[in-house]
Amino acid sequence: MDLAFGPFGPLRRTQAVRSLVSQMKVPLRSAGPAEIAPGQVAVSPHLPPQGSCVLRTLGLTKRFGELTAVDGLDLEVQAGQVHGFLGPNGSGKSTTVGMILGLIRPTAGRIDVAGDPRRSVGAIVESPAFYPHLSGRDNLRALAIAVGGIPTSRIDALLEDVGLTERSHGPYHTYSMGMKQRLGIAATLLTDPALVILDEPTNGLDPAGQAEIRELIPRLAHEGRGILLASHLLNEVQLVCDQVTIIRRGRLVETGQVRNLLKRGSYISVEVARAAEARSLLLQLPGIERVDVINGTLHVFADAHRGPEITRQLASYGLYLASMTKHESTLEEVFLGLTGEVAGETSPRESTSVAAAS
Amino acid sequence: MLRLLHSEWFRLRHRALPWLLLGIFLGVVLLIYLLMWFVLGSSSTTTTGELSRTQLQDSLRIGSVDDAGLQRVEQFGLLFTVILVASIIATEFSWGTIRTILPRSSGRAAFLTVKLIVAAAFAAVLIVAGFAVSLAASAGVTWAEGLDSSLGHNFWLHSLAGMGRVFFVMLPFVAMAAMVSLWTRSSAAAIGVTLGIMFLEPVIMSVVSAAGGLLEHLPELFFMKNVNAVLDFRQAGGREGGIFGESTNLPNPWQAASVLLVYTATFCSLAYWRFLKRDIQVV
Repeated sequence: MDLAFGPFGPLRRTQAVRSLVSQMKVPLRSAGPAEIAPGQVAVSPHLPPQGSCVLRTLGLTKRFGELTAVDGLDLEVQAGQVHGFLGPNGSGKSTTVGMILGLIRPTAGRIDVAGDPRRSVGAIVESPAFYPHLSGRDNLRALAIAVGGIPTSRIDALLEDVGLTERSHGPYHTYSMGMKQRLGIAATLLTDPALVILDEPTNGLDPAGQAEIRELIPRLAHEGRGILLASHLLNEVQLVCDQVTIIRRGRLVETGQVRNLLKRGSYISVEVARAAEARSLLLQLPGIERVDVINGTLHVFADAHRGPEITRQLASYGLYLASMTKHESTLEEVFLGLTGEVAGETSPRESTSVAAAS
Repeated sequence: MLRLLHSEWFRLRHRALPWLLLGIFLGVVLLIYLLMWFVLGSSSTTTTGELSRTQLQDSLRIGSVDDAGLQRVEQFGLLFTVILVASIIATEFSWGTIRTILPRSSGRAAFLTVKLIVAAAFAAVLIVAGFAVSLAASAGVTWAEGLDSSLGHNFWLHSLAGMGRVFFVMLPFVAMAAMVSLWTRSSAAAIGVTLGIMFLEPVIMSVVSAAGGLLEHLPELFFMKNVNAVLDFRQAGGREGGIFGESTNLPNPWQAASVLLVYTATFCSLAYWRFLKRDIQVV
């Protein structure tokens, strides 16, 4: 096993990025000048440059006896990026997160995190876990003391930012689920981490709370953090993520930009007489390599802006459209297509294999 | 590690359990003195009764606090320390807080070391506080009953050494409780196993001793015989009647201390080994 935590190189002060920090009630970081004009750099010198790698796993593997929970996973998260981490139940997402946090020992592979993992990684894993007898403020203080070098003013700022100032002196066990989740987010940001891992961050939150989290995530990325977002809520991931990695049974199924994945599944639905003839005509167009005929309707896998070109091509051969609709695929469709299963169910291909074997 | 220790102390002093345990412990020590004082007042004046009355007076007088008083502190202090150790370790698992604090810690070994240091510190506080309460209660009884109020030669030095011995004999039990709570992630299991061994050992010891042969010397490897030998260090080796009342000769105190040290080291090693290797479930 080759497990290493360490910086990828010297961290430079980041270049100017359009930051939404100015929209925040309280800046999340204490570093830098107090007066930050809207749109100016508000990025901590502690954070790595935009686009640099904050997390990299290489061949990460975890076996529990006979079961291989994570199998040779390569994953890379860059600063300023929201990286969705998807997979059906039991696919190895939480095990991967546990290994990144040092809670689970990898069987093989390598994990690199930019900076000291104690400070540069903040995580909220499933439901937040804090000391029930301590107040929210004291829970943050206990963590701050353990890490060291975190001023009380930062705790106050974080509590203010997550809207817990008024209840910060109440014992944690009296908090609602939403308040617990907010405290979890405050704890995640306590050390001003370069990498934020959010595993089901909207668990137990009401719709307003979920919307707040959805707003917070890109904001954190704009500040220069890398975000790894593990979630079952695919529409949530589609809304906030730039990049996505899909795993199944611990193995990487797909990784790439969300827009490219969505584009891959998008098509133009064309209703026309003589579908077979129309199909061969459309395949003559440059850049159109796939046209399916489903129940007499053509599914043309091409960018939506090629609609007029398709119309012209068919009309020039005397084929006139009955209808044309653009179908944009969702991440859910892509996910189900790639994983071949509805959460927890066996894929059709595997069902066949199992049936054949038995 | 100092930061982690500071954080652990911060969390502990804001928790009700250690204060509650300390309060109950001191209350129990005081109650024992009050009960013994009550028994002293109502004891028989027959020859046999007179003998036990003299023994009772002797154990209640202020000059005996460094011996009999500290044995009572050891008996009850051990119980409360085991409860605390089991609790501060196992609740990290049951509350799930281990997955919050461990990634912020300077390593697993440091995390466990801090827990053990805090447990040892709690044991030390119990011993000192228990000694102080015993001293105060004994002074009260000595004054009220007009008992011999002389402290004896080198009382304070003997008291300090006695407290050190009590602390030392607690260590294997603290290590055992830590090990079991890490292994099982359950405070109930850790308390049950540790106290179960403490209370069952005399029974097992008497059965094994009765067997004779090679087994006859096996109790010398048990906890209690060695604990009593260390506690009775001043009488070195031949005193009858330890804290659990067995009446056989005790082993050499240095040998006994070595046995207890081996137990402590073994339990600690197993605890570290298990904790450094184990996976912490994320959900």
